[in-house]
Amino acid sequence: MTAELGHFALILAFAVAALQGTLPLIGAQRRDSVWMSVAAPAAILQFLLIAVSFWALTRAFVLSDFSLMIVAMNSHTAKPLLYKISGVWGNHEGSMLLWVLVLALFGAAIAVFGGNLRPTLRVRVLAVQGLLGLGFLAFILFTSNPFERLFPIPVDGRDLNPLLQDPGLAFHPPLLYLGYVGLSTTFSFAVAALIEGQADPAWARWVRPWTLASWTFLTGGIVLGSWWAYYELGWGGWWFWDPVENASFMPWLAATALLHSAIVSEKRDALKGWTVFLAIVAFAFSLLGTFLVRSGVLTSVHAFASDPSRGVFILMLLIVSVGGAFALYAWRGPALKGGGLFRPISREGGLVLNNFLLTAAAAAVLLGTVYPLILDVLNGGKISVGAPYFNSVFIPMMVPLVLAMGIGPLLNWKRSELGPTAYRLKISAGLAVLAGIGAWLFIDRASALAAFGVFLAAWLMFATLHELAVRIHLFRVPLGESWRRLRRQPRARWGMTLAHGGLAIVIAGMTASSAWTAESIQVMKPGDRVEVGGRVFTFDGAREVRGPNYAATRGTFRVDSGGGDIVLTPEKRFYDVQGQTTEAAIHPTFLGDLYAVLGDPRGEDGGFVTRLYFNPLVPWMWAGSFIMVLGGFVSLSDRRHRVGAPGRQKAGARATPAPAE
Amino acid sequence: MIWLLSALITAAAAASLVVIILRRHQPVPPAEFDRAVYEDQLAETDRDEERGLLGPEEAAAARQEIRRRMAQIDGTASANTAPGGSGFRTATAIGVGLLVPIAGFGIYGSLGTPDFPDQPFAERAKPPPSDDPKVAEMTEIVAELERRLEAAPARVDGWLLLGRSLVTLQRHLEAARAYARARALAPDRAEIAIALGETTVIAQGGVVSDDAMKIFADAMDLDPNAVRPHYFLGLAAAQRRDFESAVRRWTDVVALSPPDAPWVDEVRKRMNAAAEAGNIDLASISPSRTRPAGPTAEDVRAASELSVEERAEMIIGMVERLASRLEDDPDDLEGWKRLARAYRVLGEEEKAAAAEERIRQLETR
Repeated sequence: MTAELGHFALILAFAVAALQGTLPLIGAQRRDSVWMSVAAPAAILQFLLIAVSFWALTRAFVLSDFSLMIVAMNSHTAKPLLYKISGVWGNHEGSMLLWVLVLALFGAAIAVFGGNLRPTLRVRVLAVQGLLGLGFLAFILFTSNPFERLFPIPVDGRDLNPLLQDPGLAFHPPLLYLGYVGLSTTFSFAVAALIEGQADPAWARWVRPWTLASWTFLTGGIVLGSWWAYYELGWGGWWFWDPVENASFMPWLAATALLHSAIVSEKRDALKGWTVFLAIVAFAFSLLGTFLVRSGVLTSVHAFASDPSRGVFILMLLIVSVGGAFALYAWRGPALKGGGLFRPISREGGLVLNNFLLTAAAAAVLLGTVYPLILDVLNGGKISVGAPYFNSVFIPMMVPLVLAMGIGPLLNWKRSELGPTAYRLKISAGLAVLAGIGAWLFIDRASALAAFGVFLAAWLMFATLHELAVRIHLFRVPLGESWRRLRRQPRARWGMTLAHGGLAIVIAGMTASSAWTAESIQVMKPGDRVEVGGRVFTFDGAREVRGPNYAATRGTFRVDSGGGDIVLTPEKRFYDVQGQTTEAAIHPTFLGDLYAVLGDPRGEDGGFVTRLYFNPLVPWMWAGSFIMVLGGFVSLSDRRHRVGAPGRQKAGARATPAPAE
Repeated sequence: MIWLLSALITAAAAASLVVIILRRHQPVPPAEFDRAVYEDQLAETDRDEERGLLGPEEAAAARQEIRRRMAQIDGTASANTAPGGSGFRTATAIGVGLLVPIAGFGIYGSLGTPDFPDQPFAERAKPPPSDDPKVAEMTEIVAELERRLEAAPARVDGWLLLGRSLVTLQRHLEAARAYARARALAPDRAEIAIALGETTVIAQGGVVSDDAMKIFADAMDLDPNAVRPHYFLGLAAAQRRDFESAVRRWTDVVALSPPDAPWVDEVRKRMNAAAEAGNIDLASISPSRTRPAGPTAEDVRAASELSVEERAEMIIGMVERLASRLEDDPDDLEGWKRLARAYRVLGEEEKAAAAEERIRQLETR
């Protein structure tokens, strides 16, 4: 009965979304406060109803109610509780339910925190959000219903794909969805602005926190996915330019661009049309990603269902929402006149360059992702576009971006001079060059590219620190005064410093792990020793162990290190119901990961195929990413994002002062 | 119950909207909201200057620009007004109040299955109530067996024994899971597939599901002359109203069975009923199989299937291990209690008495 109640709540949410998407839109047009008043409560109600529905589905998974089709198909009684829960979104129907849950969550958040928005704008934003919800709820109810029942009820479930039975993957989808779907808010803001015919700095100021939140979650989600690929697929790689990865990377590039262009729109009242356009593009990328992943066009662990009717439905949603938004943009966009003027060499100019490079990069990734698909559809044969394409197109665009990232924050608004600003960075540049030469001399003389990567990472790090030093007047005023200034930096500035510095660390990790990974594949008998990347791995043999829903062969490796042995225990798991997985054993150290994989047994005397790696600086990537995400949250907590609402009681009153920090 | 709860949710949902609609709204001029943002920007500029993030000149320029934008705010934009007054409000409220339940129940009526109760696994697997002491004993033996299999899960015979014991206890759902484990370990043994299929059908209330059909089809591939896969595939066909296939399958069942097999009469009865339901001339259908000379694989299996005594023996094997463990660890009171119970079940009265004697010694200590 809970299941049926969840189903019913979902249908009610559909009805409420229909109201939310229509009445307020008409109301705002007619300046009619009665119909406009429906928006906020409907948004909250829609969220509550979907939450009830989601709870009902989760309960069915936890209690192994196999009378629900998707529970029977994706769960199993012997599965650990965490994976019973993550099984809710480890399948097509449930993941779409999570999608609308997050969509409704953002809608409700705008309804609750949007009290300071201009009423017509707020209501229109909520209405667009409601229309998106309506589309996706229709998609769920009529093509992918998670509450479809099954009779006769099977004895046990078919279990979740064992690759997905993993803690990293349990949280990857929710985070990614918070990011993906979070971009729906900026989309709704953009469409609402176009309907209003007004995108002023006030609008940009409201868009920024939502973009920032989406960007932060998206970053976290992508990193978790990459981390999972790194330790679960057992090849030591962390990014494969797989279409599914690109599907999440394109919205990230667009969101990063949007994050920066919104600054210009807010501070300088310029680039407004562009910012609105980017907001639409960012969500279009999210929808495109959903389409690619969910339609079965691509086969991967994500392609739970290859049902053409679903693909067609999402494609229609994509065309209607994004096509509609672009049509609206073509019609109303020209009305969005920019205000502030600026010279090419200025903070604005730097941000324009950032936007240009990021969107070009997104376009390049888009081309590489969909070109094979289009060619396939046109019967042009099957080709695959892989890392060589992306590396040769994407990286050259990132190089000027990173170089500019060092200088941009030091440029003045409106007009600035490149020469003197660049000259101020001479120490940073010098240190970076030294780092690059050092890497070339002492680590690897074969790879000039890797040395250049080290230079870039060092440049970005030193320039970011330099910018911080300039802001706190380091060495120009007494240290105590600098310390006081450091503590009084606004959190948004800290956010920037952390995000840019984090990226520098990530670049260092990417460079080192791409260039200097040491790998060794061999058959090892117990007692055998192999040296990989200067570390000696000793194989102590393998034995059978039993997990909750799998049997496993667990190998033991010892690695000599200064203070005692490091023990690595990779496993090869055979799940009772479906499939097998490879569980790499990873021991992170400051300089890199020790990474061991157990393969198939060879020979009679306990020999196994083993793959051993030393992956230098990989932990830096995760740490750097974490710092970037942290930067997002720190910036989000800045008080600038808490614009006071005008007091209703005192018409024409001043802004309510924001609460002190 | 489902209707009551959904009616409650619907009422709450509709009411929360209607209440808002009926409330009087005090409009705030939109310009005030824009002004609030600019005021805030000014305050931020002040803060930045105070912190030394902006020089005095930059701050002044920024202020000038913000003020210029403030001056451009269209102060004439009217506040929202509610046309039609309270009549319009009431009409909207009624419309919304009706639309939510109509849409909700309307769509649910076509998509939902209101009479389908939840079926959590624990509830389905609940053993039938019984106060038979034999059942209680058996339940304990089963629990012990499960513990053992937990430690050594690769034992096919262990899973089979567990399955059979659970069938005896009428716990078919769990029995099917035990057989499934056995089958995963020995996928080429037809009799395991047959046992799994049969238990699955019983666990699913007599319906031969697609899953069960697949199991029987596999069993038939492994042993084409086994009778039961033919029988159940016939049943599956009949349940899907494909009477002709049903009759064909059952004709084969009769052909493969010894003429005096106890089930032949029942199968014939069903065959006739199916022929009648499907308007099929029985004479037109001839068996596609003939009974092979000598015992079939299934006969062999039936003969080699553990008899009650053998099954007891396996359990005794367990009991002996327990007994020998207790010799090493004679103070394990719980172990002795289990051993005594086991001996009683097995009818080893003397040994049981000895064990109980030991329990008394331990308890009086």
